[in-house]
Amino acid sequence: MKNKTVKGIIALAVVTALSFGIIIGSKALSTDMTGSTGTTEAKVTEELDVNDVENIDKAVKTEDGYIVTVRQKGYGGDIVMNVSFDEAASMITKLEITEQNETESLGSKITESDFLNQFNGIKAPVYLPGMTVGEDGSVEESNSGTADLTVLDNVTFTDGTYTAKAEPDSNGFTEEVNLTVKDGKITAVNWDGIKEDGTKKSVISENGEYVMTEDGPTWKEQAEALADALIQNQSLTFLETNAEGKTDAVSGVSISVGGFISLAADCMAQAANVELTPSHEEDTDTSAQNGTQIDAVSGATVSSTAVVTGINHAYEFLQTISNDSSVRKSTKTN
Amino acid sequence: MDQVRIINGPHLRTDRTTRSIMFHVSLSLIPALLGSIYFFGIRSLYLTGLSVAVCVTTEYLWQKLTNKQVTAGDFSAVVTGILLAFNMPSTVPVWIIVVTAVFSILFVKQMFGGIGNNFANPALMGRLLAMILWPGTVMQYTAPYTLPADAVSSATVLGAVKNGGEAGYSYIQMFLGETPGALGETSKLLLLVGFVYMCYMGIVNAEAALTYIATVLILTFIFGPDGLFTGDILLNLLGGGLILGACYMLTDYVFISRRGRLLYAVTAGIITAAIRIFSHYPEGICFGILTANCLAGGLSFLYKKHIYGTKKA
Repeated sequence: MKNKTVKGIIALAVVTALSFGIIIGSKALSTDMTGSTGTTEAKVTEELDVNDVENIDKAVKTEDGYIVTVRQKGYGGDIVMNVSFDEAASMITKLEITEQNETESLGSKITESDFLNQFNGIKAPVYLPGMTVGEDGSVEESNSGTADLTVLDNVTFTDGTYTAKAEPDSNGFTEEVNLTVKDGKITAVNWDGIKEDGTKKSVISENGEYVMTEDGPTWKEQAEALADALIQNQSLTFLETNAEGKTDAVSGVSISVGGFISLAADCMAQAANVELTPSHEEDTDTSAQNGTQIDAVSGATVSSTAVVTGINHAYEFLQTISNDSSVRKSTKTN
Repeated sequence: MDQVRIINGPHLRTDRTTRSIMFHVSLSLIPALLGSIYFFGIRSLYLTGLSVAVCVTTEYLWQKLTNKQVTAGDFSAVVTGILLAFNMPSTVPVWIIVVTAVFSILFVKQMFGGIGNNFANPALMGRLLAMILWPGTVMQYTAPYTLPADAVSSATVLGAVKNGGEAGYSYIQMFLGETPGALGETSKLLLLVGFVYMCYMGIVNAEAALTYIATVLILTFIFGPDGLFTGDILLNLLGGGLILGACYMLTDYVFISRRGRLLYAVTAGIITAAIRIFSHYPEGICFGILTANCLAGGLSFLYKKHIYGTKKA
């Protein structure tokens, strides 16, 4: 037994040494082969001063552009990313996520190539669908979708039946509003979501397949309450919505009413023969011209937004640098 | 003092004590430990040392406080400590190691009665705890320092492929260990060296490990990502922690009979493969072995037990 133990331990040591020989040997062999190609990493020519700049950990000027390390709060902690820009500091050439703590298989998908490759060679700033880029590089939920509803007050409606449909939502429901005008007044409003297979939201909320809250009013009851409120007011302006797209204006209604408002407004605009003007049209236009829209990681809005915001911070930071002539000078002397 | 102590049978004695077995298991893990130092830097040694120290201390303190026989010196806590550290990335914060080590020894092992009575592998339970509490931290792996690129955290090879990316590493690199991963799992070569040593010393039976690996590989090959019979066998074998799991985690002394052991290994294999195929977790080893651990009692009803003192059926 003792003898066997000694033999075993010696054998273990020898074989381990041999294995390391193989590992290190193969390593030397492979570096020989790749050594000639060299690294593609650009050389750092200058470190930029990032003191007093919030969220920016580090920024360097390289031979062919800039690399900015940004820290941005995500869903599960800070997301740290390296954003590479071209020489003009206006084009994003590469995005790397070096640290993140996002939800596994949801937010953490920001590290996957599908998401990251979107940033290879695009114009900054970036934004997600339905967002606008603010002055300070922050990304905000865009208001451009909601039209100025006051134009629908004090107009005359032409008699008839009007319909407006939305894009199918993530659950497959196409929301639809039917609005009937008789004697210049809105007399009937019907709001429903219909699936491709004909399933109606109103029907399945009645039989309990589509439940909002355990004992609150069903979706159908809430939709009808909204419709009644519209008929009573003959206007949509009473429906003040909060940041979550909900309203306190109609009692018992706890669902998001944004879809209803835009569709009903659409119907009313048809009836009144007026055009709806989005209230923040200018903002969206400029950002659409100057930036690039990015597809978010589905189901991970917070993580995606954090990445986009971080990139825009990096971009804004570089803008301030390049506007600062003293920095530019010192760059040139290099 | 004239009380008679009654000790349960069997009363056969061999030189083979828990201490000697666990000592050899610890020895067999040293090649992989050296490998992790080579690949991930000296921090792996500190982390492993810390993990072992916490495990042994916790065991000692618990046994002292509860007036139990102190078995902290029998190396089983050492093995748990090493395996626990082997399942963590090299960047893991020190306190996570401390928390999981205490949890493994105290809650999984000692509270169920200590060695031999724990219902599941303590090191794997520790990993499971860390996976649930700090998924971002313990499932972010760094690439080995030996690679030219900066140490950027990334998924394991299996994880990368599962998410539709490229493996990015050759099978040779995966076999030798030059891939991102937990400390001890990357070098299959060094793990196998240790495993062969254990087999030579006669302290572990290779059957269960091989059955487990075969089950996982066959199932992941049949139900591949692109339809039937399209799985990548070598990737599934070398890309993750399958070999570490099969050689060191699965081979607890759970079943005495051969049939029971095979049944146990196949169960673990099926669950591991199912998780690799159907869930968003790329590995499944942790879940597979732990589930088999928990099912061990139930599985023993499925076959006739070997009774001591009779001939093997």
